[in-house]
Amino acid sequence: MEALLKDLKTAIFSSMERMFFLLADPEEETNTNLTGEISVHLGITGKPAYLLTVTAGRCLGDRMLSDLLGDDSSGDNLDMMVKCLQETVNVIAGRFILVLDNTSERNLTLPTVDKASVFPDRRFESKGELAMSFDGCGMKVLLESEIG
Amino acid sequence: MALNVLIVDDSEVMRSVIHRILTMSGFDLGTVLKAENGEQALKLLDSNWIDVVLTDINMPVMNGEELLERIKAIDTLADIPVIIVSTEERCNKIDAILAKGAVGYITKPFKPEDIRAIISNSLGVEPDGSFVEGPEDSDF
Repeated sequence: MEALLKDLKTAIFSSMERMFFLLADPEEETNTNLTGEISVHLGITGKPAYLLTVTAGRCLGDRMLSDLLGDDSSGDNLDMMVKCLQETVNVIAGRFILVLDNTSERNLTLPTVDKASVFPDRRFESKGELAMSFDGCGMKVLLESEIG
Repeated sequence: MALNVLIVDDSEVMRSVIHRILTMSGFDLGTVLKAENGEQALKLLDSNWIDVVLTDINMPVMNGEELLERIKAIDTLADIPVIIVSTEERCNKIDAILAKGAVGYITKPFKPEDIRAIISNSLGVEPDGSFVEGPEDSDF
């Protein structure tokens, strides 16, 4: 599982760099502040199925949105921040899926703020959580795998 | 020559990003239409002149693969180049989509030069309106 979390971390770092030119802060400088947090969930089908939850503080949400849309993102736009995070999770999962077993049989669900709708009535357990920050703005990523 | 583009993606953010990158790519853009899914895209194609379609794969209602199949099945639309824009990086999946008639594939996230190259190659037109020169155009 350690290897899987390491691969997930690589997928996150490379996605954040490519999408927003944001590099992760060194571990000793990681800021875990997630004030005003927004969370997005995405499922990876297959055996075992995985559930990915990415939580970003408002600080990071605001930064990501303005990097992506430039001047078009002015103002407090929570709805657009959520949509931006949804797209980010999509890109991260797209990279992560490449390193999973049976990768060709796996697919991604649509990113959503409603965790219960990803894999309804199925049970998952935590496989690990990653905490990181980018330019002082916090992000947390939870990886869960299906039980049974 | 102004380029009329249809952007198909269920993400409002990504539709805006693609539009922004297209603007930065140097092409003279005419009409830029946007759709949330394949079904909406087909309705727009039915009533608008479109030079190129940029579509995501994973979308609700009608996904990009089905949209591609439907476009290729309609005589009046079959010649419109379709470029896939997706997070999918698995070669077998990409090859399967290209085999259905997509003229190109670009992985998100991408830069203006990526989209410029793929549109130039697909349409045979450079951003300044000149034609892309092939071997048959050489004097020698």
